Amino acid sequence: MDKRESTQEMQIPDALLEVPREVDSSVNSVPLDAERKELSVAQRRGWIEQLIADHHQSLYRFCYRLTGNATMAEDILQQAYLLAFQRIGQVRDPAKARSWLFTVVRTTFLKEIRRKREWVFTDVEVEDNRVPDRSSRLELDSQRLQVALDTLPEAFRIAVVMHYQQQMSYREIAEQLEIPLGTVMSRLSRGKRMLKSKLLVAQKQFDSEE
Amino acid sequence: MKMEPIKTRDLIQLLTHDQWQQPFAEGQALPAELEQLRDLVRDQPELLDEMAWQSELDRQLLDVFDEVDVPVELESRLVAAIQNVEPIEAVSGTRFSEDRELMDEAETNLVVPRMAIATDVVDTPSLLPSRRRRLLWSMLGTTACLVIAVALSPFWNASPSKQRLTYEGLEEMVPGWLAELELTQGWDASLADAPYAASIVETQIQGKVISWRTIGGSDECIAMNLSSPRNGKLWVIILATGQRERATQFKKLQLSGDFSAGSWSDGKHLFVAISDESMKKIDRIFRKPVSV
Repeated sequence: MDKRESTQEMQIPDALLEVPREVDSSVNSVPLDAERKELSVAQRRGWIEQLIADHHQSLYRFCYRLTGNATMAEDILQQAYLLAFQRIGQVRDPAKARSWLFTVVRTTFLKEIRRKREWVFTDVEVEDNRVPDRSSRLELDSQRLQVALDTLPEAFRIAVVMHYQQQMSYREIAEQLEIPLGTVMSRLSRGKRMLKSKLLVAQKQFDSEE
Repeated sequence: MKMEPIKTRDLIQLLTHDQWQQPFAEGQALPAELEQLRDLVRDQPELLDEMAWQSELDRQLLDVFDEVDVPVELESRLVAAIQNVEPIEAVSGTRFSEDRELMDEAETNLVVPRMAIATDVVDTPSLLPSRRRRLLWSMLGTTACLVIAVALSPFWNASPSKQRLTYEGLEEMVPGWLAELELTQGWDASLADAPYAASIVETQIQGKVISWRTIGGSDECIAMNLSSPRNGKLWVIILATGQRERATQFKKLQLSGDFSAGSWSDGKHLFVAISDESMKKIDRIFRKPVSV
């Protein structure tokens, strides 16, 4: 019946994915600045090295929370800095370099995971029905958080990480991702609820096993 | 298609208890999109307790989110990677201000495309042959680093990255699909050419497949058209899951507007039926009654 039963892995075309089309459009829309174009290679290198010194830690933490994998996080970060090095002439306002770098990292992450994507259906609603009540306690550590984060769909995960880690409001997230405010509110509220639900359910299971 | 009104349980995730207590409780205006929360809290004061509990969870999460150990040598490795490459403009061997035409070409090739990644920098600029050679040699170095990174990528993780799809995710996708489904062009009446036999749908759904099309320009996502005077507009989207998973029962998707939709899985494929009929009727498309 199915002519493609032998297909083992599905590559989902980009057009189908409801993930933000976030690319550094802020950079694209900014006209090149004459002074920046005159930067020598040494100056460019100096600038990018300064950006590495200033932001590599926060960018790495961001990558790690998105990927849940230290090696992948570092590689994505390296790719992002290489790209930034090539595009640095397009950054007109140095004050916006940090936000631009986060966008480059996010874009690189999305592209990378699409290369080796596997389609898994997660029945979130069923899990939501198991949310423990308010008396539940939560003992949280970094690893437990990451395990729960890894289960979120990427569009939700990105919004949640931007909210908690970068402490951005939903308005700021909407601007960064260039998606409607309502979509961000939906992703953020559902993402937060899903994350808490998974953590609390895991906590309850852990407690019952003890 | 309008967005579904946000639910109470979602609304309270968007505002912390502290934010609610001050300044919003002191008469300042709530963000317009959260105004309905004020009415909800007035009618259901217990929501404040829920909000306080959620905020406590938020505080715990905030404390832990940044607890990520950064590798000790990371900074030096990043700097070393940068030192091994040359910027594209520099290897052209021409100062930007000296050759306006060349600069324009280089800039054109430097515009970051949507979803750009580092490998995009190998796009070959239209430069003079000798310059192009120098540029290509330099870029080969960059590309080699990236190729090595890609080659090593299978070792990043034992299993490939998983795209998790939820009912909520499907609800967000449907409006995008509808834009293509409603097109009159692009449908193929030659069912023999379809990646799936029509029977994959017809054994489950009442009606006959009259045409099919790809969605998003890829045959990984196929739409079957079962529209008829009896069914009205009716399409079934088929997504291969790529691995055997548990079958799921039909579940209605929450949409607003003129269309209703529902999804189910046979363990190997995910199906999404979209119809312009009322939500009450969409479960009637099945040959066997389903619980909705």
